[in-house]
Amino acid sequence: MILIVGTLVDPGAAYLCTRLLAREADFLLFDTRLYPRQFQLEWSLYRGKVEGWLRTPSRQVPLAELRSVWLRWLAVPGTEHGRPEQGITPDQQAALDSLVTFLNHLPALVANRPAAGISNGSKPYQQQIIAQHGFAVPRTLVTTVPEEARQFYEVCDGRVIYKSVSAVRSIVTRLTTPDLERLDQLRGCPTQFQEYIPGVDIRVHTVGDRLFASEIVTDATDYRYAGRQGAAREMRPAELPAEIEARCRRLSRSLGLALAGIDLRRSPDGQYYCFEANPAPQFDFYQLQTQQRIGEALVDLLCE
Amino acid sequence: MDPAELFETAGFNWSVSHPAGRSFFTLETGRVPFRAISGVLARLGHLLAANWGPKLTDQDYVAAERHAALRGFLSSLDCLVINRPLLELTCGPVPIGMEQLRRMNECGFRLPPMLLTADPESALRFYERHDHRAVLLEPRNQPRWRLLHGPEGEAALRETVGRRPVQLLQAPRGEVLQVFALGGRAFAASLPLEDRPGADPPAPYCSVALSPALQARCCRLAQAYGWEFAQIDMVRADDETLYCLDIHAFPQYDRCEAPLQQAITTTLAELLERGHEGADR
Repeated sequence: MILIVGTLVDPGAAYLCTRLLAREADFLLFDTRLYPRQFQLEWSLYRGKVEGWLRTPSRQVPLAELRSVWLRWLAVPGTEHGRPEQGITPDQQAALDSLVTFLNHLPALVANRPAAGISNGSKPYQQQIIAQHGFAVPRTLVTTVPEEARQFYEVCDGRVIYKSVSAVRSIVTRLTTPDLERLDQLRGCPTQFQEYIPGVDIRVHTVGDRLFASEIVTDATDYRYAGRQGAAREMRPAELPAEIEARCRRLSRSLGLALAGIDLRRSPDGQYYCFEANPAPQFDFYQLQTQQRIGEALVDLLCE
Repeated sequence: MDPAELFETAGFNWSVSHPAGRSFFTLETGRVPFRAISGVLARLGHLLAANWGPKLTDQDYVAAERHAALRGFLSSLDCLVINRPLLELTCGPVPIGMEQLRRMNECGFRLPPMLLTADPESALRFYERHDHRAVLLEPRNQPRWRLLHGPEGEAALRETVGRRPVQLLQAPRGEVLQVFALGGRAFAASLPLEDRPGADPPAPYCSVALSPALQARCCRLAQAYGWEFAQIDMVRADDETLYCLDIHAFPQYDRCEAPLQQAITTTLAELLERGHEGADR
Protein backbone atom coordinates (compact mmCIF):
# COMPACT_ATOMS: atom_id res chain seq x y z
CA MET A 1 0.00 0.00 0.00
CA ILE A 2 1.28 3.42 -1.01
CA LEU A 3 0.00 6.55 0.64
CA ILE A 4 -0.26 9.76 -1.36
CA VAL A 5 -0.80 12.66 1.02
CA GLY A 6 -2.41 15.56 -0.79
CA THR A 7 -5.21 16.41 -3.16
CA LEU A 8 -5.69 15.99 -6.88
CA VAL A 9 -5.44 19.76 -7.27
CA ASP A 10 -1.69 19.26 -6.81
CA PRO A 11 -0.30 18.20 -10.21
CA GLY A 12 2.33 16.08 -8.47
CA ALA A 13 -0.28 14.09 -6.56
CA ALA A 14 -2.47 13.82 -9.65
CA TYR A 15 0.43 12.51 -11.71
CA LEU A 16 1.41 9.93 -9.12
CA CYS A 17 -2.18 8.71 -8.73
CA THR A 18 -2.52 8.36 -12.50
CA ARG A 19 0.67 6.36 -12.79
CA LEU A 20 -0.14 4.18 -9.80
CA LEU A 21 -3.55 3.45 -11.30
CA ALA A 22 -1.88 2.51 -14.58
CA ARG A 23 0.40 0.12 -12.73
CA GLU A 24 -2.54 -1.25 -10.77
CA ALA A 25 -0.65 -0.47 -7.60
CA ASP A 26 -2.54 -0.36 -4.35
CA PHE A 27 -2.59 3.22 -3.11
CA LEU A 28 -4.61 5.60 -1.00
CA LEU A 29 -5.07 9.33 -1.45
CA PHE A 30 -5.11 10.95 1.97
CA ASP A 31 -6.56 14.44 1.96
CA THR A 32 -5.42 16.05 5.21
CA ARG A 33 -8.02 18.82 4.89
CA LEU A 34 -10.57 16.17 5.80
CA TYR A 35 -8.57 14.87 8.76
CA PRO A 36 -9.66 13.87 11.35
CA ARG A 37 -13.36 13.94 10.51
CA GLN A 38 -13.59 11.92 7.28
CA PHE A 39 -10.01 10.69 7.03
CA GLN A 40 -8.89 9.17 10.28
CA LEU A 41 -5.65 7.94 11.68
CA GLU A 42 -4.91 6.03 14.82
CA TRP A 43 -1.55 4.70 15.84
CA SER A 44 0.23 3.52 18.89
CA LEU A 45 3.89 3.27 19.74
CA TYR A 46 4.98 0.65 22.20
CA ARG A 47 8.48 -0.72 22.62
CA GLY A 48 9.52 0.90 19.38
CA LYS A 49 6.76 -0.71 17.33
CA VAL A 50 4.23 1.38 15.43
CA GLU A 51 0.75 -0.09 15.00
CA GLY A 52 -2.55 1.38 13.88
CA TRP A 53 -4.66 2.18 10.88
CA LEU A 54 -5.72 4.80 8.41
CA ARG A 55 -9.37 5.13 7.55
CA THR A 56 -11.05 6.88 4.65
CA PRO A 57 -14.79 6.94 3.97
CA SER A 58 -14.34 3.82 1.84
CA ARG A 59 -11.70 1.68 3.50
CA GLN A 60 -9.45 1.04 6.46
CA VAL A 61 -5.78 0.18 6.05
CA PRO A 62 -3.48 -1.24 8.73
CA LEU A 63 -0.30 0.79 9.03
CA ALA A 64 1.73 -2.41 8.72
CA GLU A 65 0.64 -2.52 5.07
CA LEU A 66 2.04 0.92 4.30
CA ARG A 67 5.33 0.61 2.48
CA SER A 68 5.79 4.17 1.28
CA VAL A 69 4.38 7.67 1.51
CA TRP A 70 4.67 10.73 -0.69
CA LEU A 71 3.77 14.23 0.36
CA ARG A 72 4.66 17.67 -0.88
CA TRP A 73 3.10 19.65 1.91
CA LEU A 74 0.45 19.16 4.54
CA ALA A 75 -2.83 20.96 3.94
CA VAL A 76 -4.15 22.34 7.20
CA PRO A 77 -7.00 20.16 8.50
CA GLY A 78 -10.42 21.70 8.40
CA THR A 79 -9.64 24.25 5.70
CA GLU A 80 -11.11 24.54 2.23
CA HIS A 81 -7.94 25.28 0.32
CA GLY A 82 -5.33 23.92 2.67
CA ARG A 83 -4.38 27.20 4.30
CA PRO A 84 -6.39 28.93 7.02
CA GLU A 85 -7.63 32.38 6.10
CA GLN A 86 -7.64 33.75 9.63
CA GLY A 87 -4.62 32.06 11.13
CA ILE A 88 -4.42 28.52 12.36
CA THR A 89 -6.54 27.54 15.37
CA PRO A 90 -5.07 25.52 18.27
CA ASP A 91 -7.17 22.51 17.24
CA GLN A 92 -5.97 22.72 13.64
CA GLN A 93 -2.41 23.04 14.88
CA ALA A 94 -2.84 19.99 17.08
CA ALA A 95 -4.20 18.00 14.14
CA LEU A 96 -1.33 19.14 11.94
CA ASP A 97 1.21 18.31 14.67
CA SER A 98 -0.25 14.83 15.00
CA LEU A 99 0.26 14.24 11.26
CA VAL A 100 3.83 15.52 11.44
CA THR A 101 4.59 13.23 14.37
CA PHE A 102 3.08 10.29 12.52
CA LEU A 103 5.03 10.93 9.33
CA ASN A 104 8.27 11.34 11.25
CA HIS A 105 7.78 8.02 13.03
CA LEU A 106 6.21 5.78 10.40
CA PRO A 107 8.56 2.87 9.70
CA ALA A 108 8.24 3.12 5.92
CA LEU A 109 9.80 5.11 3.11
CA VAL A 110 8.48 8.68 3.41
CA ALA A 111 9.32 11.11 0.63
CA ASN A 112 9.88 13.27 2.51
CA ARG A 113 9.58 13.19 6.27
CA PRO A 114 8.67 16.64 7.62
CA ALA A 115 11.77 16.61 9.85
CA ALA A 116 13.99 16.13 6.80
CA GLY A 117 12.69 19.29 5.19
CA ILE A 118 13.36 21.63 8.04
CA SER A 119 16.90 22.58 6.99
CA ASN A 120 15.32 24.39 4.06
CA GLY A 121 13.51 26.62 6.56
CA SER A 122 16.68 28.65 6.96
CA LYS A 123 18.49 29.03 3.66
CA PRO A 124 21.71 30.37 5.21
CA TYR A 125 21.73 27.37 7.53
CA GLN A 126 21.28 25.01 4.62
CA GLN A 127 23.95 26.88 2.65
CA GLN A 128 26.50 25.94 5.30
CA ILE A 129 25.59 22.27 4.91
CA ILE A 130 25.79 22.60 1.14
CA ALA A 131 29.26 24.14 1.35
CA GLN A 132 30.41 21.22 3.52
CA HIS A 133 29.55 18.94 0.60
CA GLY A 134 32.06 20.66 -1.62
CA PHE A 135 29.77 22.89 -3.66
CA ALA A 136 30.65 26.48 -4.39
CA VAL A 137 28.22 28.88 -2.76
CA PRO A 138 27.71 32.53 -3.63
CA ARG A 139 28.87 35.34 -1.38
CA THR A 140 25.90 35.88 0.90
CA LEU A 141 24.87 38.59 3.31
CA VAL A 142 21.84 38.58 5.60
CA THR A 143 21.29 42.03 6.99
CA THR A 144 18.99 44.64 8.41
CA VAL A 145 21.63 47.34 8.02
CA PRO A 146 21.07 49.45 4.90
CA GLU A 147 24.67 50.70 4.72
CA GLU A 148 25.99 47.15 4.73
CA ALA A 149 23.63 46.11 1.95
CA ARG A 150 24.83 49.12 -0.04
CA GLN A 151 28.46 48.20 0.57
CA PHE A 152 27.81 44.57 -0.43
CA TYR A 153 26.31 45.87 -3.65
CA GLU A 154 29.46 47.87 -4.33
CA VAL A 155 31.84 45.04 -3.42
CA CYS A 156 29.94 42.77 -5.83
CA ASP A 157 30.15 45.41 -8.57
CA GLY A 158 26.40 45.81 -8.57
CA ARG A 159 25.82 42.14 -9.35
CA VAL A 160 23.55 41.19 -6.47
CA ILE A 161 20.24 39.40 -6.05
CA TYR A 162 17.92 39.27 -3.05
CA LYS A 163 15.55 36.57 -1.87
CA SER A 164 13.88 35.24 1.25
CA VAL A 165 15.87 33.83 4.15
CA SER A 166 13.15 31.36 5.12
CA ALA A 167 11.29 28.73 3.12
CA VAL A 168 8.62 31.27 2.23
CA ARG A 169 8.67 31.39 -1.53
CA SER A 170 10.04 34.57 -3.01
CA ILE A 171 11.02 35.66 -6.50
CA VAL A 172 14.77 35.93 -6.83
CA THR A 173 15.32 39.52 -7.97
CA ARG A 174 18.33 41.57 -9.10
CA LEU A 175 19.14 44.47 -6.85
CA THR A 176 19.29 47.63 -8.92
CA THR A 177 20.56 51.14 -8.26
CA PRO A 178 17.02 52.51 -7.74
CA ASP A 179 16.51 49.81 -5.07
CA LEU A 180 19.31 51.37 -3.05
CA GLU A 181 16.97 54.27 -2.30
CA ARG A 182 14.63 51.99 -0.37
CA LEU A 183 17.14 50.02 1.65
CA ASP A 184 15.80 51.64 4.80
CA GLN A 185 12.97 49.11 4.54
CA LEU A 186 15.45 46.44 5.59
CA ARG A 187 15.35 47.59 9.18
CA GLY A 188 13.37 45.05 11.16
CA CYS A 189 13.31 42.39 8.47
CA PRO A 190 16.56 40.51 7.80
CA THR A 191 17.00 40.12 4.06
CA GLN A 192 19.26 37.82 2.14
CA PHE A 193 21.53 39.28 -0.53
CA GLN A 194 23.72 37.16 -2.75
CA GLU A 195 26.35 37.83 -5.30
CA TYR A 196 24.79 37.24 -8.71
CA ILE A 197 26.40 34.21 -10.33
CA PRO A 198 26.14 34.25 -14.11
CA GLY A 199 25.71 30.93 -15.84
CA VAL A 200 23.29 28.18 -16.65
CA ASP A 201 20.72 26.97 -14.16
CA ILE A 202 20.56 23.27 -13.55
CA ARG A 203 17.83 21.62 -11.52
CA VAL A 204 18.82 18.24 -10.22
CA HIS A 205 16.20 15.85 -8.92
CA THR A 206 17.48 13.00 -6.83
CA VAL A 207 14.99 10.18 -6.47
CA GLY A 208 16.51 7.63 -4.16
CA ASP A 209 19.80 6.89 -5.89
CA ARG A 210 18.59 7.99 -9.30
CA LEU A 211 19.37 11.44 -10.58
CA PHE A 212 17.91 13.70 -13.27
CA ALA A 213 19.58 16.93 -14.31
CA SER A 214 17.62 19.54 -16.24
CA GLU A 215 19.31 22.54 -17.81
CA ILE A 216 17.43 25.80 -17.99
CA VAL A 217 18.54 28.46 -20.43
CA THR A 218 17.03 31.85 -19.83
CA ASP A 219 17.92 35.49 -19.31
CA ALA A 220 15.51 35.72 -16.39
CA THR A 221 17.05 36.06 -12.92
CA ASP A 222 14.52 33.56 -11.58
CA TYR A 223 13.74 31.08 -14.34
CA ARG A 224 10.53 29.97 -12.63
CA TYR A 225 9.09 33.39 -13.43
CA ALA A 226 10.68 33.90 -16.84
CA GLY A 227 7.33 34.60 -18.47
CA ARG A 228 6.48 37.24 -15.92
CA GLN A 229 9.85 38.86 -16.52
CA GLY A 230 9.34 38.84 -20.28
CA ALA A 231 12.19 36.41 -20.86
CA ALA A 232 12.32 33.22 -22.89
CA ARG A 233 13.07 29.91 -21.22
CA GLU A 234 14.32 26.67 -22.63
CA MET A 235 14.66 23.50 -20.60
CA ARG A 236 16.36 20.27 -21.58
CA PRO A 237 17.98 17.20 -20.03
CA ALA A 238 21.59 17.70 -19.04
CA GLU A 239 24.64 15.65 -18.19
CA LEU A 240 26.66 16.39 -15.06
CA PRO A 241 30.23 15.44 -14.18
CA ALA A 242 30.27 12.30 -12.06
CA GLU A 243 31.69 14.16 -9.08
CA ILE A 244 28.84 16.69 -9.12
CA GLU A 245 26.30 13.88 -9.34
CA ALA A 246 27.95 12.19 -6.39
CA ARG A 247 27.85 15.42 -4.38
CA CYS A 248 24.14 15.80 -5.11
CA ARG A 249 23.41 12.28 -3.96
CA ARG A 250 25.48 12.74 -0.81
CA LEU A 251 23.75 16.02 -0.05
CA SER A 252 20.27 14.49 -0.42
CA ARG A 253 21.22 11.54 1.73
CA SER A 254 22.76 13.69 4.44
CA LEU A 255 19.58 15.77 4.60
CA GLY A 256 17.46 12.62 4.78
CA LEU A 257 15.66 13.46 1.54
CA ALA A 258 14.39 10.54 -0.54
CA LEU A 259 13.32 13.08 -3.15
CA ALA A 260 15.12 16.40 -3.56
CA GLY A 261 15.23 19.27 -6.01
CA ILE A 262 18.74 20.70 -5.96
CA ASP A 263 19.33 24.09 -7.56
CA LEU A 264 22.71 24.43 -9.22
CA ARG A 265 24.25 26.99 -11.51
CA ARG A 266 27.23 26.27 -13.74
CA SER A 267 29.31 29.41 -14.00
CA PRO A 268 31.20 30.34 -17.19
CA ASP A 269 34.43 29.06 -15.61
CA GLY A 270 32.83 25.62 -15.07
CA GLN A 271 32.24 25.85 -11.33
CA TYR A 272 29.05 24.37 -9.94
CA TYR A 273 27.34 26.61 -7.43
CA CYS A 274 24.57 25.20 -5.29
CA PHE A 275 21.82 27.47 -4.02
CA GLU A 276 19.54 25.12 -2.16
CA ALA A 277 18.09 21.63 -1.80
CA ASN A 278 14.32 21.72 -2.01
CA PRO A 279 12.55 19.04 0.03
CA ALA A 280 9.24 19.44 -1.84
CA PRO A 281 10.23 19.75 -5.49
CA GLN A 282 7.68 20.22 -8.25
CA PHE A 283 9.08 17.37 -10.29
CA ASP A 284 6.00 17.40 -12.52
CA PHE A 285 6.88 20.82 -13.91
CA TYR A 286 10.40 19.76 -14.92
CA GLN A 287 9.16 16.47 -16.27
CA LEU A 288 6.64 18.25 -18.45
CA GLN A 289 9.28 20.59 -19.82
CA THR A 290 12.09 18.09 -20.39
CA GLN A 291 10.27 14.76 -20.85
CA GLN A 292 12.58 13.26 -18.24
CA ARG A 293 10.92 10.42 -16.38
CA ILE A 294 11.37 11.88 -12.93
CA GLY A 295 7.87 11.01 -11.79
CA GLU A 296 8.21 7.49 -13.10
CA ALA A 297 11.37 7.06 -11.05
CA LEU A 298 9.46 8.31 -8.04
CA VAL A 299 6.69 5.80 -8.70
CA ASP A 300 9.36 3.08 -8.93
CA LEU A 301 10.78 4.20 -5.61
CA LEU A 302 7.37 4.25 -3.93
CA CYS A 303 6.53 0.81 -5.33
CA GLU A 304 9.82 -0.69 -4.24
CA MET B 1 18.47 40.66 23.87
CA ASP B 2 14.78 39.91 23.69
CA PRO B 3 14.42 37.86 20.50
CA ALA B 4 10.98 39.33 19.89
CA GLU B 5 12.47 42.83 19.89
CA LEU B 6 15.92 42.07 18.61
CA PHE B 7 15.24 43.13 15.06
CA GLU B 8 13.30 46.19 16.18
CA THR B 9 16.05 47.51 18.41
CA ALA B 10 19.29 46.13 17.01
CA GLY B 11 20.93 45.90 13.64
CA PHE B 12 21.89 42.46 12.36
CA ASN B 13 24.56 41.91 9.77
CA TRP B 14 25.73 38.40 8.96
CA SER B 15 28.28 37.63 6.32
CA VAL B 16 27.13 34.05 5.78
CA SER B 17 29.65 32.86 3.24
CA HIS B 18 32.66 34.53 4.91
CA PRO B 19 32.76 33.76 8.63
CA ALA B 20 35.67 36.15 9.02
CA GLY B 21 33.73 38.89 7.24
CA ARG B 22 31.78 41.80 8.65
CA SER B 23 29.27 40.13 10.95
CA PHE B 24 27.89 42.04 13.89
CA PHE B 25 24.97 43.35 15.89
CA THR B 26 24.53 47.08 16.27
CA LEU B 27 23.20 48.10 19.64
CA GLU B 28 22.62 51.51 21.16
CA THR B 29 25.96 51.11 22.87
CA GLY B 30 27.84 50.24 19.73
CA ARG B 31 28.73 47.40 17.45
CA VAL B 32 29.23 43.83 18.70
CA PRO B 33 31.15 41.67 16.23
CA PHE B 34 29.95 38.08 16.12
CA ARG B 35 33.55 36.93 16.72
CA ALA B 36 33.43 38.68 20.11
CA ILE B 37 30.60 36.41 21.23
CA SER B 38 32.01 33.66 23.42
CA GLY B 39 28.75 32.09 24.53
CA VAL B 40 25.05 32.32 23.80
CA LEU B 41 21.98 31.41 25.78
CA ALA B 42 19.26 31.24 23.16
CA ARG B 43 15.61 31.21 24.13
CA LEU B 44 13.95 31.92 20.83
CA GLY B 45 10.29 31.15 21.44
CA HIS B 46 8.06 32.71 18.85
CA LEU B 47 9.32 35.79 17.09
CA LEU B 48 6.34 37.94 16.35
CA ALA B 49 6.29 40.94 14.10
CA ALA B 50 3.06 42.54 15.22
CA ASN B 51 4.22 46.04 14.32
CA TRP B 52 4.99 45.17 10.75
CA GLY B 53 2.15 46.10 8.43
CA PRO B 54 -1.53 45.43 8.80
CA LYS B 55 -1.72 42.17 6.89
CA LEU B 56 -1.32 38.87 8.65
CA THR B 57 0.62 37.58 5.68
CA ASP B 58 3.20 40.36 6.03
CA GLN B 59 3.53 39.60 9.72
CA ASP B 60 3.95 35.94 9.02
CA TYR B 61 6.56 36.67 6.37
CA VAL B 62 8.62 38.93 8.61
CA ALA B 63 8.37 36.50 11.51
CA ALA B 64 9.51 33.64 9.30
CA GLU B 65 12.44 35.68 7.99
CA ARG B 66 13.52 36.67 11.47
CA HIS B 67 13.31 33.15 12.78
CA ALA B 68 15.18 31.74 9.80
CA ALA B 69 17.94 34.34 10.12
CA LEU B 70 18.40 33.73 13.83
CA ARG B 71 18.34 29.98 13.54
CA GLY B 72 20.89 30.05 10.77
CA PHE B 73 23.07 32.49 12.68
CA LEU B 74 22.97 30.51 15.93
CA SER B 75 23.77 27.30 14.07
CA SER B 76 26.80 28.92 12.48
CA LEU B 77 28.52 30.23 15.60
CA ASP B 78 31.74 28.56 16.68
CA CYS B 79 31.22 29.36 20.33
CA LEU B 80 29.09 27.69 22.97
CA VAL B 81 25.39 28.05 22.13
CA ILE B 82 22.82 26.92 24.67
CA ASN B 83 21.00 25.56 22.79
CA ARG B 84 22.01 25.48 19.20
CA PRO B 85 18.73 25.39 17.31
CA LEU B 86 19.17 22.10 15.58
CA LEU B 87 16.62 22.51 12.90
CA GLU B 88 15.93 18.82 12.68
CA LEU B 89 14.57 18.80 16.20
CA THR B 90 11.55 20.99 16.50
CA CYS B 91 8.86 21.10 19.12
CA GLY B 92 7.94 17.43 19.20
CA PRO B 93 6.60 16.13 22.45
CA VAL B 94 8.73 13.05 22.77
CA PRO B 95 11.33 11.82 20.32
CA ILE B 96 10.95 13.34 16.89
CA GLY B 97 11.57 10.08 15.13
CA MET B 98 12.63 6.50 15.58
CA GLU B 99 16.31 7.45 15.71
CA GLN B 100 15.69 9.65 18.75
CA LEU B 101 13.66 6.89 20.35
CA ARG B 102 16.59 4.54 19.84
CA ARG B 103 18.91 7.03 21.54
CA MET B 104 16.51 7.34 24.44
CA ASN B 105 16.43 3.59 24.90
CA GLU B 106 20.21 3.40 24.72
CA CYS B 107 20.40 5.85 27.59
CA GLY B 108 18.20 3.60 29.70
CA PHE B 109 14.87 5.36 29.39
CA ARG B 110 11.59 3.95 28.21
CA LEU B 111 8.78 5.67 26.42
CA PRO B 112 5.47 4.60 27.97
CA PRO B 113 2.91 3.14 25.57
CA MET B 114 1.63 5.97 23.39
CA LEU B 115 -1.62 6.37 21.45
CA LEU B 116 -2.48 9.02 18.92
CA THR B 117 -6.11 9.09 17.90
CA ALA B 118 -9.07 11.28 17.07
CA ASP B 119 -11.51 8.52 17.93
CA PRO B 120 -13.18 9.17 21.31
CA GLU B 121 -13.87 5.48 21.86
CA SER B 122 -10.25 4.51 21.30
CA ALA B 123 -9.00 7.29 23.54
CA LEU B 124 -11.34 6.27 26.32
CA ARG B 125 -10.45 2.60 25.94
CA PHE B 126 -6.78 3.51 26.36
CA TYR B 127 -7.66 5.57 29.41
CA GLU B 128 -9.66 2.76 30.99
CA ARG B 129 -7.10 0.13 30.15
CA HIS B 130 -4.45 2.12 32.00
CA ASP B 131 -6.33 2.46 35.24
CA HIS B 132 -8.15 5.67 34.33
CA ARG B 133 -4.95 7.60 34.06
CA ALA B 134 -3.09 9.05 31.09
CA VAL B 135 -0.68 11.79 30.21
CA LEU B 136 -2.06 14.14 27.58
CA LEU B 137 0.72 15.66 25.48
CA GLU B 138 0.31 19.29 24.52
CA PRO B 139 3.69 20.29 23.11
CA ARG B 140 2.71 23.81 22.15
CA ASN B 141 1.40 24.63 25.60
CA GLN B 142 3.06 25.24 28.94
CA PRO B 143 3.24 22.87 30.62
CA ARG B 144 3.73 20.58 27.65
CA TRP B 145 1.77 17.74 29.16
CA ARG B 146 -0.78 17.14 31.88
CA LEU B 147 -1.99 14.19 33.84
CA LEU B 148 -5.58 13.10 33.38
CA HIS B 149 -7.01 10.86 36.04
CA GLY B 150 -10.32 9.79 37.48
CA PRO B 151 -13.72 11.02 36.31
CA GLU B 152 -12.46 14.59 35.87
CA GLY B 153 -9.67 13.37 33.63
CA GLU B 154 -12.14 11.33 31.63
CA ALA B 155 -14.37 14.36 31.12
CA ALA B 156 -11.38 16.43 30.02
CA LEU B 157 -10.34 13.70 27.62
CA ARG B 158 -13.83 13.46 26.13
CA GLU B 159 -13.94 17.19 25.64
CA THR B 160 -10.49 17.34 24.01
CA VAL B 161 -10.82 14.35 21.72
CA GLY B 162 -14.15 15.73 20.56
CA ARG B 163 -12.29 18.67 19.08
CA ARG B 164 -8.97 17.33 17.87
CA PRO B 165 -6.65 14.31 17.78
CA VAL B 166 -5.01 13.55 21.10
CA GLN B 167 -1.66 12.07 21.92
CA LEU B 168 -1.74 10.03 25.10
CA LEU B 169 0.89 8.27 27.13
CA GLN B 170 0.31 5.70 29.77
CA ALA B 171 0.95 7.44 33.10
CA PRO B 172 3.24 5.19 35.12
CA ARG B 173 2.83 5.34 38.87
CA GLY B 174 5.83 6.68 40.65
CA GLU B 175 7.82 9.79 41.28
CA VAL B 176 7.83 12.45 38.60
CA LEU B 177 11.25 13.96 38.16
CA GLN B 178 11.97 17.04 36.23
CA VAL B 179 15.63 16.89 35.35
CA PHE B 180 17.65 19.75 33.96
CA ALA B 181 20.75 18.41 32.25
CA LEU B 182 23.19 21.22 31.85
CA GLY B 183 26.75 20.96 30.56
CA GLY B 184 27.57 17.68 32.22
CA ARG B 185 25.57 18.25 35.40
CA ALA B 186 22.01 17.24 36.16
CA PHE B 187 19.68 19.02 38.56
CA ALA B 188 16.41 17.47 39.55
CA ALA B 189 13.18 18.36 41.18
CA SER B 190 10.55 15.96 42.36
CA LEU B 191 6.81 16.14 42.73
CA PRO B 192 4.05 13.59 42.86
CA LEU B 193 2.62 13.16 39.37
CA GLU B 194 -0.76 14.36 40.49
CA ASP B 195 0.68 17.71 41.51
CA ARG B 196 1.97 18.74 38.08
CA PRO B 197 1.90 22.50 37.52
CA GLY B 198 -1.54 23.38 36.34
CA ALA B 199 -3.03 21.41 39.18
CA ASP B 200 -4.75 23.33 41.91
CA PRO B 201 -3.04 24.56 44.03
CA PRO B 202 0.33 24.68 42.25
CA ALA B 203 3.24 23.62 44.38
CA PRO B 204 6.93 24.30 43.79
CA TYR B 205 9.12 21.51 42.63
CA CYS B 206 11.47 20.44 45.43
CA SER B 207 15.10 19.61 44.80
CA VAL B 208 16.02 15.98 44.81
CA ALA B 209 19.46 14.45 44.70
CA LEU B 210 20.11 12.11 41.80
CA SER B 211 22.54 9.26 41.95
CA PRO B 212 25.71 9.84 39.91
CA ALA B 213 24.62 7.05 37.58
CA LEU B 214 21.26 8.66 36.89
CA GLN B 215 22.87 12.07 36.44
CA ALA B 216 25.20 10.54 33.89
CA ARG B 217 22.31 8.92 32.05
CA CYS B 218 20.42 12.19 31.84
CA CYS B 219 23.47 14.05 30.59
CA ARG B 220 24.11 11.36 28.02
CA LEU B 221 20.54 11.65 26.80
CA ALA B 222 20.84 15.44 26.44
CA GLN B 223 24.11 15.00 24.57
CA ALA B 224 22.53 12.40 22.30
CA TYR B 225 20.07 15.06 21.24
CA GLY B 226 22.86 17.62 20.81
CA TRP B 227 21.68 19.89 23.61
CA GLU B 228 23.80 21.58 26.25
CA PHE B 229 20.73 22.30 28.32
CA ALA B 230 17.77 19.96 28.26
CA GLN B 231 14.69 19.35 30.32
CA ILE B 232 13.75 15.73 30.78
CA ASP B 233 10.41 15.00 32.37
CA MET B 234 10.39 11.46 33.59
CA VAL B 235 8.69 9.09 35.95
CA ARG B 236 10.73 6.90 38.23
CA ALA B 237 8.35 4.01 38.63
CA ASP B 238 8.01 2.03 41.81
CA ASP B 239 10.14 -0.72 40.25
CA GLU B 240 12.84 1.92 39.42
CA THR B 241 12.11 1.84 35.69
CA LEU B 242 12.63 5.28 34.15
CA TYR B 243 9.91 6.46 31.78
CA CYS B 244 10.53 9.54 29.70
CA LEU B 245 7.44 11.66 29.23
CA ASP B 246 9.11 14.55 27.46
CA ILE B 247 12.48 15.92 26.51
CA HIS B 248 13.06 19.31 25.03
CA ALA B 249 15.57 22.09 24.60
CA PHE B 250 13.58 24.90 26.18
CA PRO B 251 13.84 24.15 29.90
CA GLN B 252 11.33 25.84 32.18
CA TYR B 253 12.63 25.83 35.72
CA ASP B 254 10.58 28.67 37.14
CA ARG B 255 8.37 26.15 38.97
CA CYS B 256 11.33 24.82 40.95
CA GLU B 257 12.07 26.04 44.42
CA ALA B 258 14.35 29.05 44.60
CA PRO B 259 17.67 27.40 45.57
CA LEU B 260 17.36 25.02 42.64
CA GLN B 261 16.61 27.86 40.25
CA GLN B 262 19.64 29.67 41.58
CA ALA B 263 21.88 26.63 41.16
CA ILE B 264 20.76 26.22 37.56
CA THR B 265 21.26 29.89 36.81
CA THR B 266 24.71 29.90 38.37
CA THR B 267 25.76 26.86 36.38
CA LEU B 268 24.44 28.44 33.21
CA ALA B 269 26.43 31.60 33.90
CA GLU B 270 29.59 29.61 34.63
CA LEU B 271 29.19 27.61 31.45
CA LEU B 272 28.66 30.69 29.35
CA GLU B 273 31.63 32.40 30.94
CA ARG B 274 33.86 29.48 30.07
CA GLY B 275 32.55 29.41 26.51
CA HIS B 276 34.22 26.67 24.51
CA GLU B 277 35.79 25.21 27.59
CA GLY B 278 32.35 24.89 29.13
CA ALA B 279 31.05 23.16 26.05
CA ASP B 280 33.82 20.61 26.27
CA ARG B 281 33.06 19.53 29.79
